[in-house]
Amino acid sequence: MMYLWAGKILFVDLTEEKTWVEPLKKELCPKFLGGRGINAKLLWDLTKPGIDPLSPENLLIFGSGSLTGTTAPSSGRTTVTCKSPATKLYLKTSMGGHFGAEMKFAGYDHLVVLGASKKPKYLWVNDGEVEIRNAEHLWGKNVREMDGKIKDELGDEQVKIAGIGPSGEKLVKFAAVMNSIYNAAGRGGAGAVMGSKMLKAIAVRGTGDIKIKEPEKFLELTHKLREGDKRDVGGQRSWFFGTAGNVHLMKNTIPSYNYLKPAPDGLEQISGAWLVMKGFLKRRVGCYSCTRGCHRYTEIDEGPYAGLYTVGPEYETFSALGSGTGVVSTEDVIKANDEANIMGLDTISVGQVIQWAMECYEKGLLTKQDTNGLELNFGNSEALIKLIPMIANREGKLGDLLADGVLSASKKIGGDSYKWAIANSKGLEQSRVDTRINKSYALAFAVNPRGPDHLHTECIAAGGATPRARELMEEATGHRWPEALKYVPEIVRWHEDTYTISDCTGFCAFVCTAALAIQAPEMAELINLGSGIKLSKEEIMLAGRRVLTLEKCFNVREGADRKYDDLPWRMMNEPVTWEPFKGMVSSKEWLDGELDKYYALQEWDPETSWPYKETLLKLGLEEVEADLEKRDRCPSKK
Amino acid sequence: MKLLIVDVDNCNGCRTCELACSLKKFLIFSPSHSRISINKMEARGLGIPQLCEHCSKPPCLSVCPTKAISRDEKSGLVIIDSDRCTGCEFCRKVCPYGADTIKIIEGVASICDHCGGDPECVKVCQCMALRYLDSNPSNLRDKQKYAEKRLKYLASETFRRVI
Repeated sequence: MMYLWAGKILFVDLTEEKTWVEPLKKELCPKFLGGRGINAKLLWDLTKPGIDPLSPENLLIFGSGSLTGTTAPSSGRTTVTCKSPATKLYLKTSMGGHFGAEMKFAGYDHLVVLGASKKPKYLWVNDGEVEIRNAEHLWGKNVREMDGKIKDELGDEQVKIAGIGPSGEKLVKFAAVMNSIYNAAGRGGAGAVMGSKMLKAIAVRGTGDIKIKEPEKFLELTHKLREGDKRDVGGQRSWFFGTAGNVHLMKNTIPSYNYLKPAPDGLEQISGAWLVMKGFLKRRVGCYSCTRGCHRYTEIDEGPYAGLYTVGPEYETFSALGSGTGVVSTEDVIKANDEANIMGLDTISVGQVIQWAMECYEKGLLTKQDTNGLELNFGNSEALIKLIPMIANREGKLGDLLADGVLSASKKIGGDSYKWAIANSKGLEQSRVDTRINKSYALAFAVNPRGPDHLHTECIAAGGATPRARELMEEATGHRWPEALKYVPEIVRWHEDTYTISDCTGFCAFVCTAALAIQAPEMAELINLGSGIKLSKEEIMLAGRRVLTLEKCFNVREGADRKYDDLPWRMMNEPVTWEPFKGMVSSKEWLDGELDKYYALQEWDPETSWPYKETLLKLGLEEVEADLEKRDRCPSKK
Repeated sequence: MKLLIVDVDNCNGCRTCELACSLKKFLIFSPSHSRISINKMEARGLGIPQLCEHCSKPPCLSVCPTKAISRDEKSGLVIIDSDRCTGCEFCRKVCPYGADTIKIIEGVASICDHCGGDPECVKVCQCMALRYLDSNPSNLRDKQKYAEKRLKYLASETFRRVI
């Protein structure tokens, strides 16, 4: 029997149509913690380098956090891990919702999908009973329809379902895995991997339990943490206005018009505050054990979209599908967001490819013939809403072109279009932060193993919004804030470690790196009380670094080196043209300087960016060291 | 006596209350061992907290074939004698708030007992969907109002899933 963890891993081989259960190795728990960490370990162990991400050899791994399914505040996140079809490198993508907790109550910490089916299937996990079922009647259905049909078929409204929309079936490179209908593991195309396996959905129902070593003390501590979290202003705001709460105050920083211009007029209409004030917001929705409910449930009461009900939009979507494309009508962005959600698309990437296409259209690289007659100018909301299902279904020349992501599309279109592609060398479209202005984000995005993205590392505490944030930054850099801001690599590494352990334990960024109520000491204490393991604050931070280094090593094994750690062309070469940030840019020279310092800090080789042999051994990654040594990709410290 | 008031519109559906309940009563985290259930309708972003309302004229009390259900004079709450209960589920079938207000846990019908005056679920409910307040005329009116609202949600066609 295990405390805190369910203690089992469910394996599903779709080629052979067979399923089996393996115990979760106890010794992995303190080392890799759970969720993202153990997922990474499984991916490293069970895949060979060089495989095609959309082949049956790729794995799709679901992992619930080690504290998921407990009263630990906002600890319900689930990580999906595979080799990314967008980057052909490591991918972890995480989602809120209720899937991970249900999986744990069904008795599994992790679920590994191997092989591929020839016909559409869905998986039904009902506690110990696992069944691979026919999904031909679900193929082609959007996420909301699919969810409803499965719930009807199983006769249980409380089943939790993770699945894909049409975009995953069509292998769109930024198709998401959606759970609880509207929660997306969006980035990097995990949905396409699921589609390549012909797996439409996984439905889970669990009636089991999670055992706790010291239950009373555990509960008492989580009560205390909740009290602390209640007093956090940022937390209150994210409950009241959602993640997009202050968009209207970001006129000069919110990426707009494909990072070309400051925000369009009427920006306030695409903010969380507007959703509340204008009555679009009907309810606040929480993920499992959430303390916030930043997820929005919205309805449109009148106008052409009257009767539409959906969730969001949240910050990234308001920025990607709103300011980014120059559309500021609330209803239009809500509609576009719903289209993307039910088609199972990552709103960040789909927004990014549409902006790129708009810029190409305005600059003459795409014509009306290429766009099936769409006037693809910035601000054309009709084109935006039409284009989303076209991309999801790879409809027409344009839909197919954009469905492979912005980097691939710019290679096909040629000309200067690569300069407008906001994706770095890894091939993932950048999340909605202007990395010319925000320097710690710039470095974090460049070195992220999955590509430039905020949910891998987002340097929120660097903003110094609260005394606690400034204190932590001082701790991380050894210098008082704002002096600390000069120490970008130290800031990035602290956020990386913290993000990693919060993903491993299942915590939401909003309580760890944004609101800062729960840090390494609290996480360690929760794990200790829950499981009986003895972890110190330093050990848990080190576990974070171990996981991140393992993820880095996955990329090293695939052949990635320092040149993959860069930023999109525009971020490095085209300075901001508006005040007060005029002239700011994260040039290659600046980035190279920061990278040198970052690699030195991580004890990685500056020339190749590969971790030193000694670094891997120090982190206890002996098997990784041995493997990379064989491939001659494990330099020794000179 | 105090009142446990449930406002369904405030519920964000996070289900932490279920965990707090099962830990307090069984020292494990397990929604199937909780006396409160959040019934979710995910397409509509809705979570409906389901727990015993301790009705003034409880239908469950009159249908129980073994007379296991009674009203506790001291606390004013409806209580179930676990020794008498056979798990026949008659009570679940007649509850106006739906079967999920009464859980069959380890073979016995179990309902919320306000944790003897210190309900654990209320402590973790950060969105104020669950409140534990003094019984006075104003709060009683509120309880009535919110209970009716919950019934409306449960009955309304709008909140049935649309497919």
